[in-house]
Amino acid sequence: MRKIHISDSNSKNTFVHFSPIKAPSNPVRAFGKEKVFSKRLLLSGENNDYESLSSKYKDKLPQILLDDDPELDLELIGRPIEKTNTVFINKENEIMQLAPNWIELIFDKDGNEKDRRIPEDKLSNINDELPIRFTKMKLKREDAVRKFVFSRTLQLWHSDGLTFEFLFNIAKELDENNEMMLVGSGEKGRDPLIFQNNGLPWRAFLEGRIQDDSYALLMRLSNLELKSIS
Amino acid sequence: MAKPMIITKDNKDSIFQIKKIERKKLYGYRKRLAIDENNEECKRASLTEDGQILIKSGMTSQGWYIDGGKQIESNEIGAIDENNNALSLIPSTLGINQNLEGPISPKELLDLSVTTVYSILPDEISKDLENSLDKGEIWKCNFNFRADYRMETCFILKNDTGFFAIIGIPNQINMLSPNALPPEDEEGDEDDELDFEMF
Repeated sequence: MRKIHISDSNSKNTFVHFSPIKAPSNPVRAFGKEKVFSKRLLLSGENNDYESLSSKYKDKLPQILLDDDPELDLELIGRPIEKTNTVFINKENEIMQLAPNWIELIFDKDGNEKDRRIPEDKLSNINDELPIRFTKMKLKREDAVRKFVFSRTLQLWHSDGLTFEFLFNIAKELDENNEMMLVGSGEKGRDPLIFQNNGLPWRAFLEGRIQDDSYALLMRLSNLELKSIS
Repeated sequence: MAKPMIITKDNKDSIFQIKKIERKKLYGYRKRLAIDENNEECKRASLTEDGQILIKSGMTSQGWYIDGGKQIESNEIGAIDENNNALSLIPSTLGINQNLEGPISPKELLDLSVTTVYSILPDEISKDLENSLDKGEIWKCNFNFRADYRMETCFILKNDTGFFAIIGIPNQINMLSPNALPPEDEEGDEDDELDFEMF
């Protein structure tokens, strides 16, 4: 189970477990009352796809398609695909023997390429020596939901009496004040959270709920502001 | 263009056009590209385990089967619930009046697994609903973009930049007591998409 290193408003810090809150699963697909499952099937061979046929027959292709069905390889079509290995192919459709290099392309919001560069690895930062810390930004729940789209939620879990008290107290303070607290990582405690290497950075707000002697401390994650698009 | 969303509060209809909000459209995006030693773009493909068939993009399709191997046409596929009862297809709600419930607590919106967010543009809005949204109130109704076997929930709200519909499936929060058992191990979600500065 994964852990996160977090500190509270008094700069006390500890490692606690977390797990995602997920929506109920989609209804199961069925034929009558029997569950159905899917298989990947081959539609064509590598010499029968449009690209290959087009370069072979050029402008005669439409007539040849009508007359001879070169797109159908009856040896291959409909064959189920089980396990495969990922490969990279060059522009001649040859399998590369060496691992490719990578570049990163940056596009603006209209889809125009702005820059290309050698990508930098972004390491996960939730389990570092430096804990995730409270920032100065607190929002009332009603303001937070009108400013950000919270598309993921993680629940923080205690593992003993000390971590129960630690998380319970954070949840209680937030719930009583009807507030959500922005937390951040890094030296200044302002960076977004990255949960796995090269994963998306998320802005994270803590939200607390208290019911008698039970609590829920939830990390609401957002990577999207609620902004109208023209 | 999709049909409009029609919502009803106190017997008064409001009509909105919907426009999906995506990160790409707000912030731009990054993409990683594989290149060979000549700086030419390479494409990802698959090779069958026996090394006999190279599978390029577009060379495969998906078939549906039941135990025993019988193939099922996609138009014959339905859905069942956890008790094996057949579910009915619920039609799209677009273009059909949906009654609003609320105002609801922001906690209810926070407990939503969000699937889609729309910017909604009013063709017609009742004074009553507009006043309520201006005050910061949040309303909810049923929503399905297309026919499906489960109904999604739509939350309507307004901020300084416009009106929004946040769509998703309500989820359940676990309240933890001191002796709560730790959660079961789950695989972390992997994201292929790379970040873009939001703030």
